[in-house]
Amino acid sequence: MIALGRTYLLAIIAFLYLPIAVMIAMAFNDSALYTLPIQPSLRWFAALASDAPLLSATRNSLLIAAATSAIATPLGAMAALALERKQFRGRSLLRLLLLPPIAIPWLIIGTAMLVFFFWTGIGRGLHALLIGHVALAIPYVVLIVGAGLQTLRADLEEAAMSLGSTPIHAFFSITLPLWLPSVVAAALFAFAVSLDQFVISYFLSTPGVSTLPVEIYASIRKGFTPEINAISTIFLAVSSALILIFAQLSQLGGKRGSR
Amino acid sequence: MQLEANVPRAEASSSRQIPARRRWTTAALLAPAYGWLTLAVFLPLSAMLFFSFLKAAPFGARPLQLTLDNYLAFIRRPYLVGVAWTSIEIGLWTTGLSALIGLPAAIALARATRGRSQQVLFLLVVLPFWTNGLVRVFSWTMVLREGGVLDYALHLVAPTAPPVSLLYSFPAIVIGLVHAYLPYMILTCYLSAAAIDEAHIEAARSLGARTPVIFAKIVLPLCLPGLISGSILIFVPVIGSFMEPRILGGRVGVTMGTMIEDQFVQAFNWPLGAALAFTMLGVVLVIFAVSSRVLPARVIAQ
Amino acid sequence: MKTHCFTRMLSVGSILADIRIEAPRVPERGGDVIGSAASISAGGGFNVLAAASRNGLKSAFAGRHGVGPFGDRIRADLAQENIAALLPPSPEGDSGFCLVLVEPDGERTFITSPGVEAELGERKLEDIPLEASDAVFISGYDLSYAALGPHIARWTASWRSETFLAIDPGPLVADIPDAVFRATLARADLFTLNRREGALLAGTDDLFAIAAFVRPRLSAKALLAIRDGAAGCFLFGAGLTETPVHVPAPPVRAVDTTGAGDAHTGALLAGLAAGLEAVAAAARANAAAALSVTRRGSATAPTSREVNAFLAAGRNPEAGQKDEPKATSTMKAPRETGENAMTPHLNRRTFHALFSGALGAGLLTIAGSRRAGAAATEITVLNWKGYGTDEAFALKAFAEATGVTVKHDYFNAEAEMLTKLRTNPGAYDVVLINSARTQQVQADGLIDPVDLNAVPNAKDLAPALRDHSNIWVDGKPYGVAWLWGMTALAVRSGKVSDAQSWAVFSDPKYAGRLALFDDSITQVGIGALLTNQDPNNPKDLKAVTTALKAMKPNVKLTWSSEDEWNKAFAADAFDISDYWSGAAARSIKIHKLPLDFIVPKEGAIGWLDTLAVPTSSTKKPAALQFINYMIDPKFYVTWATQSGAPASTNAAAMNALPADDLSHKIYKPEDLAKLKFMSALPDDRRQAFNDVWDEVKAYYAK
Repeated sequence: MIALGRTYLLAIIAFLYLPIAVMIAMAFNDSALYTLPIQPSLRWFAALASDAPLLSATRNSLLIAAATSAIATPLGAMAALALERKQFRGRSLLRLLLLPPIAIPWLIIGTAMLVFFFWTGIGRGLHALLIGHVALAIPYVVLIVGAGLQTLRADLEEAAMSLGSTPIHAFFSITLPLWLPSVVAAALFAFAVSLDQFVISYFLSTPGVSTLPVEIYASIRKGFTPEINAISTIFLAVSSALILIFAQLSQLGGKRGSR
Repeated sequence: MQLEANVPRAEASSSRQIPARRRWTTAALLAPAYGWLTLAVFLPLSAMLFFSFLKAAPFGARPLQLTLDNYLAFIRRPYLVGVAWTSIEIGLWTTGLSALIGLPAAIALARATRGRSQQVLFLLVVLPFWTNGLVRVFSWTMVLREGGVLDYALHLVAPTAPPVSLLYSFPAIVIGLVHAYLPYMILTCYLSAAAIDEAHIEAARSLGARTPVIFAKIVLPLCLPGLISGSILIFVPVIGSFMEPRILGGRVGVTMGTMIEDQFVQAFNWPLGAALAFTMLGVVLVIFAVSSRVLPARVIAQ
Repeated sequence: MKTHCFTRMLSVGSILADIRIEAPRVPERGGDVIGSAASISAGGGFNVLAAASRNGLKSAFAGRHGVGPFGDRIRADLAQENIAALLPPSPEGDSGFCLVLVEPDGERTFITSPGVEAELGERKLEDIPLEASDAVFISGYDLSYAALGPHIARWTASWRSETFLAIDPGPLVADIPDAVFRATLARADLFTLNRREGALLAGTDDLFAIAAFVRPRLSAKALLAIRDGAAGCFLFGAGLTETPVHVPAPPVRAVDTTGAGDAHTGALLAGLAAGLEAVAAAARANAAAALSVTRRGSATAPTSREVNAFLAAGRNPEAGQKDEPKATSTMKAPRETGENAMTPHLNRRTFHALFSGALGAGLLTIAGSRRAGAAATEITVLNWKGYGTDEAFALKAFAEATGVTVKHDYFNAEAEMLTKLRTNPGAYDVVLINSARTQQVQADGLIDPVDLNAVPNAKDLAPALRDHSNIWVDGKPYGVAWLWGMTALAVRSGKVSDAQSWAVFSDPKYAGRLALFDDSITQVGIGALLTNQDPNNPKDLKAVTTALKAMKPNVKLTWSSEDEWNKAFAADAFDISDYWSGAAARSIKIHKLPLDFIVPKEGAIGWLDTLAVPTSSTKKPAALQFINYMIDPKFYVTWATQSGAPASTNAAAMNALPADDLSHKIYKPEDLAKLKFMSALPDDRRQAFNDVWDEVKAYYAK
């Protein structure tokens, strides 16, 4: 049963990585039009090294994604806590309100933000980008953290409190450690949502200040070269290395493994 | 709106606290997130909602003329009904397949792995998301097209097979979307599955329950919250998606998402585009309102 | 033209002592800070004299100077520069001074204390011993003083006609009394000002508007020089051609723009005195000003030897230090507008306020501070990505020639261009507009009419395109025709040989081999051509819909970008498509794709792209300069031969293409007659087109 489960998991991961593998392979392919068969070449990495705009766009993307994750995760987690653990009027409405940011196509939200930010004087720029990205990441964080909280055993808190623990102490000693994995997961997804956000970035970034998805989106008309694959490959390699180091150092996946 | 029935114990515990203070705590917890959302999403969207009742986008010298015409789009343009249905179909297929593939994967992740390998596998699931969505979609075109990776691999195994081209078809859209959204399902289901108490399963097993029964009677109901959260996270954005349908679907890839995009990008008719989007949002909300009334009842019945 | 025969330059402009202190910050009220460096030197009107003298023109100071430490300093500095002081020291007091506090970021704060130079006293201008071979330099400061201005005006009227009068109105140009301004200008032989000052006069910084304002007030023989910072200067009149002569400035890395205008004027006068033609003198003046901005301080004009060395050393001011030539993008010279706006401007303005306000001597006034070092001109272009304006070679060459750097923002759809223009006032200086959209954008008040005279290359544009009715509204052009091309048939060479008509799109032979551009206007246009209708206004949209729906069995995909087209064509996804001429050229040239580009017998859809200047742009002159460069044959030929481009509107540019260039194959003269140019669409028709195309796409998807 266990073996079957693991085999299945590996198959799923193979599926998830199929286009990623293609992406990486094409980074090493000489053809600008992604034709097969592959002619090995490092020219796109060489081209990348001298493509300052693309590199600075990548840097901006990382900064914004990190900032988005750092802001949206606590905000969303707090909201999720209130939505799951407190009872109050309007709770259903507040939950419902999480849907429009996800359901309304990004294009429309992006246009709406552009017009609204223009009217209110917020303007464009990295700050506007960050406002937009955080707003779009919050619903994801709330839903993911909420899903984690729903299955968390609230009776443990109650048990702790009945044994004389204060609510705050109970929260920190019992709830938080169990809750942490979903918060970490939410943070990872908030990061991903920001990295993927090209429409809003595209509308809200100022000329000269670009992000990677914006560079990619703007390239669609003229053609994006495997340089994009090259930078994605480097990015993926670095982030997986970082994550693995981080996983080595901490119990990122939670403490359930010992069960 | 989903699954309030599953957390009655949480409410029992919180009701112990002093009401006034509790109210303040609740407000303090909610205010930052919703304040942010109000500024960045709700107010702009309200402006868009207002636009959807205008004859033309309020720029230049155009007078503001209120109209309901845009909301009659489905009547004026009967072909939109077919397009809307295609979008919902794509949404259902994508959500259904993601659930079918993702739930077992989540359970396997939660129960068949442990410790470090569990962490690493979990991260491996998230990591593809850290690449740009457009790049992933373009990579799929290389996999699915004739002479692409899939075709190539197939002919290595069976040289005489006819050429395989999935690109520019309905399945291509669904494959691309499932790939894009599956991790959400795995994640939310994993959070549920990981919380299942081993004791429940042991108890059932000692009572002679076989695996399928344990799955149906214990694992599945307990995973339902994750399944539902995951479905929301997938179904809702998928029916508005326009990149995957447009790039992977070819002529088949006409969805509400692409129609709305056309109104904004080509026709410059923001009011109509916004009206279509809000109509779609309305449909989504109705679907979820109905399902949240139906689903908890079933959960309770168990 | 007249050769100017003056051998000496006199100036009546006030000279004060500049006490310059570099301090970490301005002290707070009651506070004290320790300065890091301090110097005292002659300032104000001294700079022009020094510049002229260093460039070989004998110069003399005809203003007042006092007795005391500041007067001594001024006399010492004058002597150092070989400038004679014509008046004896005024015994009633010392010369004034200006305290200049320089903070580390270059911010300057001034306190001016006027001295004897501020008082008219017994000074009689008529007593100044003028000779026929003298040139007199008068600045706007002198002219704007209530008492001195009319006095000078009367004085100039009494001169012999040979005496050369040079006027630089400076930033106080608008304060000069009208009568004084008229009288002195009518007498002037050289009127030099910077573009910003010109804008104060004319109400716009458009070169022609400035010239149109100033030139009627000048005599016919007078030379008008408009200094334009890093772009160099523009010369008018004095027997030159009717069009302005642009004398570009060498690019340098600017450190401090203070005194650049004075250096320019001094060197220009010195050049004229040496018998140089106006253009040659202006070139030297540009070089002197360029050198000056590489140095800190105010009297930073180079000597004629330094100018010679600079011009000889390939215009690199650091050549002597054997530096590697800097990447040109970093070597942008800033606008010179800062010149007088810096030290001399403010201390003199303060001084002027004190003078005309008849405040007692000794009263100290804090003049306030002004940001130093105006930024280099940088314009922002809104365009499709990879569509000419962002070619790296072009940006480099343009920056080298003009000192103007170019930034980009992109759009992916024309509607998006509109949105960006509307929601980002002031952000853009040049925007690419398909001429079919020009009237829509113009109606929204987003773009300005273009003064084609300020775009010299516009004279070579094909008249039919330059004067296209899409671009002109109320007799004014709202954009410069830049490129044109067509949407016609692209087919795979060898696979499709019989395509002479759009009807091939529904030919059963090519089932599943067709790609269509996902654009309602184009597709409705093709449908209209197939049904013998006007693509811009088909009356029978039902017939168009039917014609488009008939293509369904052939349609494999719709494409929305050149990139998508190339990748799908390279992957053999289709054999027939509608495609853009410029893109076809690139696909053949860069990607070596096997395609034939055919204009079908029903005709092709033509488009004309323009470059326009947004109303909200604050850098219109630089924007027009850029547009002028974009229609320059040099740019076009490089672009077209290296990458592949649509057809240029510039006939000279098309003729300059190599004979074997692909463009000659794509843009065949005989096809021109078959082109139907896209024209402006009213909103409701655009929506109707979009509805047709959406319905057709929904039908394809079923």
